[in-house]
Amino acid sequence: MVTAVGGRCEQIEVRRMTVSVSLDQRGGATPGGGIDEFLATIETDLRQGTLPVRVFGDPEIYQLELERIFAKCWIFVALEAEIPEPGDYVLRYIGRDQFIIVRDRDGVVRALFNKCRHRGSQVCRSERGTATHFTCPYHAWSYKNTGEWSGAPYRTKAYKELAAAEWGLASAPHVDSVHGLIFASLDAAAPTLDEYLGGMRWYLDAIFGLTPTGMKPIGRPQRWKVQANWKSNSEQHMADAYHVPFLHHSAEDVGMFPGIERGGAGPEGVSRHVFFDEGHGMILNQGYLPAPWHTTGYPPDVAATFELDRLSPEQRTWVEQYSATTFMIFPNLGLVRVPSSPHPQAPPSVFTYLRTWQPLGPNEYVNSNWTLGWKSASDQFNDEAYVAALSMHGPTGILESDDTVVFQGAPNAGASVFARKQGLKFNYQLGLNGMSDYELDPTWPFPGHASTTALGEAPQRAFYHRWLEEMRRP
Amino acid sequence: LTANLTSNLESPAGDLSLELQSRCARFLHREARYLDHRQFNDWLSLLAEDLLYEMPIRLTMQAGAEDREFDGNGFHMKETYESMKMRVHRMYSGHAYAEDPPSRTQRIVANIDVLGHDGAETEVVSNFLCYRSAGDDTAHDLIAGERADVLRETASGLRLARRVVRLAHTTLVPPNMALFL
Repeated sequence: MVTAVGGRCEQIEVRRMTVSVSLDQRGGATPGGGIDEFLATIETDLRQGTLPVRVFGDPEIYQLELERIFAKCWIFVALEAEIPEPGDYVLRYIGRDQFIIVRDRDGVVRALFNKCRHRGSQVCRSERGTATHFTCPYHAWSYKNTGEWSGAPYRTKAYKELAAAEWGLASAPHVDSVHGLIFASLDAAAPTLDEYLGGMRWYLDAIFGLTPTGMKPIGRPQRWKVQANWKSNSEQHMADAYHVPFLHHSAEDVGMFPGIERGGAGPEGVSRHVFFDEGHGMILNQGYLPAPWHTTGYPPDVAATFELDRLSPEQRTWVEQYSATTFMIFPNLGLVRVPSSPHPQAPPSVFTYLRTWQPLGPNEYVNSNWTLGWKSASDQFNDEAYVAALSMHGPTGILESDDTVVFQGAPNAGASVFARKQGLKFNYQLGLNGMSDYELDPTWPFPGHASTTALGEAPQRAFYHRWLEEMRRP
Repeated sequence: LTANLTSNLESPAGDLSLELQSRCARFLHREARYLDHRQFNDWLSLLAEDLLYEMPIRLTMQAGAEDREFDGNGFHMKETYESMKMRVHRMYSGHAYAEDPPSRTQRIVANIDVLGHDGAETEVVSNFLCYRSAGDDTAHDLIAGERADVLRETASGLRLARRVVRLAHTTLVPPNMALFL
């Protein structure tokens, strides 16, 4: 049963289970077998294009995802433009942990764990601002914006022998940025951000690097809670054009996106998928709007500010032929760049949004959404794109409202006793072994695997292969 | 209206007639009833065609910086009459799955206060609590906030010309806001 706002009672129960089931109890705690044995079976499922529903509703799996995915992978936390000056900070989450993303007095961007080393109280309680120090309200331990321990009351009498260097705020071992997008990894042994992004790095240049000054957020990020499993959002941003003409048909009905089939995976739909074994992927289009609009969807006055000679010849060729409708960088960073009309008489305005989803449980996550504009574009264009984005996406967007409803089904099925006893699996066979008009394109001259159409689910299967690899790696 | 909800219009609150205050209250109550009963076209008829409707983003800020909770930089909604018309049109499209089957809402509009009046327009603030449930579940959402409205006198009665919805939430409660506040 899928309802607009339903399922909350059940979710409260599931959250309680999250607290009471420790990883040490994994053997008999969950119907359907121990977690390691269960994960060992999924490889075979994925090869057959199936996925057990338990993946979407099991609190033990969620706990393992926090440990093996969110505490290891590079996670997007903020835009450099949000913290331009020394001392500027914003509060952001990685999984369930809150970090102060701060540009320190030396200009270095850090991700400081927002917990006092004395008793764990929040040391920073405004979600954005500028500070030289963060002082805990409990016993007034104080830290510099570098995270270093800075002092405590009666220091010379109270902490005569304190090894101050050891008592700074805990911080993410790795913070790095690309095109103004700040990522952090909580894993000391993580690869570099460039290595982590792999072939996606090439496409980020072609998406964010069209002008020397790049993109900027328009307005503070929106934030809202969704009752769904975070992976539904990942796989949809990665590759799911198939649902667009059906679930989002109202966008055509009201004149927001005329010809919604063009956004789908059918014969009139988007161009193709590009994806990577690392679990990143994109939906590509070849321009939704006729000339004089640019392939990227931008009007001539904005496209005139692009300096494509900043790109390699191959990247330039790609930009002239393709634009990213969406991307998803494993595990939880998404982008959408499409045109939308905020009302039927308004011309379509292309917007770009960036999105993260931080899971709170197997059936709940918090979305954060940044709409981006080009620094080189006029305020008027960026404002119009902002309004177009708000009308279509986000908590109040008329398209996205419908996603939040259908997403509620997977975790409910995943928590169902009946579903587990039946061994119920979801179908990921679209485009598998000749099932549909969908093949890998051996002539694709750019990075990654490219499909010939978007009528397949190869990227989703690649996402879950990566997911499984991380989940099975202690 | 200014950030702390004081009026820019000429008449101080003390000069406002009870009749005006009761007409404004009646307008807001009727609007809530139309929305609770999904009479969206009736609701549209209460809007001025030059409507400006905003729902700004709210941040958590420490005491002393409360004026930066709504810093004017970021919105959940920035609407006009035309865009509201589109949202209403969608409700009748047969494809508005977020509201099909419809959620059940009860809006409680209270603390109505008329702050200023200049003959043509009246500034009114109010609080709202919107209860929303759906399906056969007993779970529900409670959306709370305050609104600063400008109501305009027209030949056919009051019309909503401007609204700022200040939510009591920094992280929105419902997964979708496919409703009107």
